[in-house]
Amino acid sequence: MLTVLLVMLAGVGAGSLGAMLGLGGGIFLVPILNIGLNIPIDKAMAISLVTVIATSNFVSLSSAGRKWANARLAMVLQVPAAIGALAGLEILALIEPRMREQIFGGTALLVAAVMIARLDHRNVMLRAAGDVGALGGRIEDPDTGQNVAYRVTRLPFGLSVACCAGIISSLVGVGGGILVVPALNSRCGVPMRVAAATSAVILGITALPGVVGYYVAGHLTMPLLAAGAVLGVLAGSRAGFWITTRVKVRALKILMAGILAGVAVEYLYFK
Amino acid sequence: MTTIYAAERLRSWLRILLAATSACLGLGLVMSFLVTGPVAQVATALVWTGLALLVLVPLLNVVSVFAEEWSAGRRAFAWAAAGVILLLITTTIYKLR
Repeated sequence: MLTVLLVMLAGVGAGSLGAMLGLGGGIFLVPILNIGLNIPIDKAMAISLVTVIATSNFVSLSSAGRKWANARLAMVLQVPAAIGALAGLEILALIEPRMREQIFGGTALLVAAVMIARLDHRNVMLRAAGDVGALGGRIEDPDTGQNVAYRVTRLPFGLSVACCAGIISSLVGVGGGILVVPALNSRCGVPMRVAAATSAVILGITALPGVVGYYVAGHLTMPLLAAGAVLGVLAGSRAGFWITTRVKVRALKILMAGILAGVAVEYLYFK
Repeated sequence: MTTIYAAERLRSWLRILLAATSACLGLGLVMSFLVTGPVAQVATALVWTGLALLVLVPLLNVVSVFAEEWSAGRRAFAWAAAGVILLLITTTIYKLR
């Protein structure tokens, strides 16, 4: 029972990160399950993937999540992400594991630097009545309290990053949110909170075949722990949305860059 | 109009499904701590049902996006959603090989 409660608490953390920053939470949850609770890595990853779906479901369907998530953009980015994930499975055997980790660590470091360099860059257009194009949207900006609009720019770049995120997710087993969110926010004109919620939707859909695969392979064998983690994640997602509307975008970007830098150091030096 | 109605209805059902998922998982988890014997199997079955519903939601969500975009006449986005469904099926088959 204590283990389930601990996993639930870890799920709250992962769910908050998922809702606030669009990360799957695997980077956070898998080490706790694997190192902290001594659960075999495959089983820990299976539970983590289930919780990614839970965050995605909450973001897609709750009123709090739907306010931020851009379902149309998610569908458009999902196609190259899924193609990238399939391609990644094919090239998995061609690259040495250590090389894969170094590529991912280097990319995460680069993205963190871009995030910090564009800390004060805001994507929102101030006129809410402006033309937002086919993929843009209108939101109420918690930082200013005004209704604002955004337009998706450099779509080919966004599609390419989604494809790379798919490849990276297959190569190193992490969700693509760590690449997609900074790319959408820094280069494609998408506000940070919208990028995070949209990424959470994408990650859940991407995780689906993985969960089926883990179940069939016999790794999803701890239903009570999975249930505890999911319930924690659902509570955490709610908390994440509560927090995200009460902190400045600048703080979210710093948190994202900090996590990216931490992940980069882990993959470059400690793996 | 009918398709818009169908898309909205599907989305409402999905919200109910998400609530049912949490209920199954919560109830199953609590029961598994409190009961033993044959009733404990009901608790486990409830948890598995909750997990199965959870996994079903994203797929149905993409279907609802397809219906919504199709009904709004935004065919390009509807086809993108259809592509996602196709890719989901392909990736699942690939992972099961």
